[in-house]
Amino acid sequence: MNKNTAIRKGIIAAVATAAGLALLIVFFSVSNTYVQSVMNMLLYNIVLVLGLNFITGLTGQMNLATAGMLALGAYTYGVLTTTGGWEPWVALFALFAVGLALGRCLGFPSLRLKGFFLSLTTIGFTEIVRLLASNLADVTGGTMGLSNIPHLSFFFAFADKNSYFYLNLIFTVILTLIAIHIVYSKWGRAYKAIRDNVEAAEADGIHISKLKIQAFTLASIYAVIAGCMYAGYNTYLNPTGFTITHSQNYIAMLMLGGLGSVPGNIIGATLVTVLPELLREFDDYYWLMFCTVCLVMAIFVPDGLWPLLRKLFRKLTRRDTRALR
Amino acid sequence: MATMLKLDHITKKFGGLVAVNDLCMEVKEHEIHALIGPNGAGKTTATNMIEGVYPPTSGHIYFMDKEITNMQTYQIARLGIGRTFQNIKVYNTMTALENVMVGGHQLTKLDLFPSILRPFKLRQEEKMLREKAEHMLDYIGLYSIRNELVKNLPYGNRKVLEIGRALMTDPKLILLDEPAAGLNPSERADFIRLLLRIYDEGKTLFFIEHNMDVVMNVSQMITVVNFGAKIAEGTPREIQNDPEVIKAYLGERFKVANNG
Repeated sequence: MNKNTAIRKGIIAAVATAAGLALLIVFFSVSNTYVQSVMNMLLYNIVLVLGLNFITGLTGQMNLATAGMLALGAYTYGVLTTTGGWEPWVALFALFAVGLALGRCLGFPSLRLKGFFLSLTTIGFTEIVRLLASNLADVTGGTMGLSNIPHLSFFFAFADKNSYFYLNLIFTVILTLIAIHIVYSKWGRAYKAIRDNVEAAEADGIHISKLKIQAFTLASIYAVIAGCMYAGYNTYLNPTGFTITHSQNYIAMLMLGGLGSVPGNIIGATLVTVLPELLREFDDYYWLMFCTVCLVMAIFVPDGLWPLLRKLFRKLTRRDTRALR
Repeated sequence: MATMLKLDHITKKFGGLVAVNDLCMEVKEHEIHALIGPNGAGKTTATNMIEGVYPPTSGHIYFMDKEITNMQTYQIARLGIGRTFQNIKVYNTMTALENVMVGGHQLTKLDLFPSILRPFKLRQEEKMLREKAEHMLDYIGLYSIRNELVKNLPYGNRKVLEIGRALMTDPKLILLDEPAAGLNPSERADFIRLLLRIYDEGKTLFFIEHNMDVVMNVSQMITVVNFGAKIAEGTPREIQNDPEVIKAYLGERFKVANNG
């Protein structure tokens, strides 16, 4: 058994480092602003999907508020640092406070609402945030957007865009490690228990409402940090980037990669972020191509890519041990 | 013997339907107590009230002299009442080992945010849980299939696994809702042996059962309910010869077969 978990941990660590390395390599080989901005998009998408995984992947509560959470994080950071005139790193504390409050606000409805009704509520939340962002023009700049947002710099460090990208990379790696730590422990199991059978989980002494709110809080903290990564890198925000379509995209990332597993989240986020960019050569047809790929995957690998890859990996390692014997 | 669980005049009404009517009963410490009765007599409703799934309309429930009437299910579980369900409830997407480990979740102390800050402490707890769960699987005889996904396991194994998970919560009292239902005779015999072993470890068992073979051989005390009210209570021998129980539930045939 211990051997088995060692292997599992090894796989996770390997994939995490491989993904990190791949990012670095891609960045070094083609160092231009386009690639870098796509890579930054990938980083904050990974963070968002890791957060979404806690509530939708593990606890099984359909959450379509991701875009709204991201918007709230991005706008909090943007408004505080421009019109508010706060130091960027001080705004980071405000972000944590927003994340904690948001988790509770969305977590409490989820104790009463199930399935479709929770989806509708979270869609409503996303729309409310988007409408507020476009109509509170005095604060958020309205549909004209909010510009000149500073990078998240610590006094003089990470002040330019290039080094700021690496700060985002560090954030992503730390948040990934924390996600691995939570998902593959008693917390991950307890969240899954709530998804699989609420009555049984409760009879096992698991405090359902506390854990659901915790999962929502984790998701919202991850999302507001992603919002900061987004706003700080692009230095410009407008409400069109936070629609319900974006929320659906994050669900797609979660499903394509594999629900409930950290490597699956990273694979899913990478696929949905990078594949459309690679398919841009097909001009008008690239979105069609992408959707076809997604549909085919939904039919042939319904559990997501990661379980499939893991099965392949296991087969390979088993063959190896047999050869050794 | 001290009283472990006490139902004090509990009544449960669902709208106009009286599911449990003024039921009083006591489960003594270290006892195997059975609750029997025809279908719809209110047995499962009574169990659900003990576990706090819904509160009784009136009356009080005490566990180890502590009132648990309006407590939440998870609080009651943490006080030391484990349970299994009539239609097995296991975590299908997890392995057998993980299922049992979920039962031990409440034994660990570390909260979510401290566990992010203290990763080594969390790993230590994880190791403790894993070892305890492995011992438990060994005890219930499922160690060899610990890494199988539960959805792939046969019915009998899942039933045993559910007991293992309930035992992982370190309960003093275990509520079993129809534990022998759906098992074939040889599985049933194994199951009874497991229950008796658990009893020998000092646990108190309280179970609902339709299988008279199990009830009469295992239990020390039997309570019979019909239409939500208690109609008899006593040892298996007394119950078998109680005219009202024979009329309401067992039937004449059982008496004759037993005497002959």
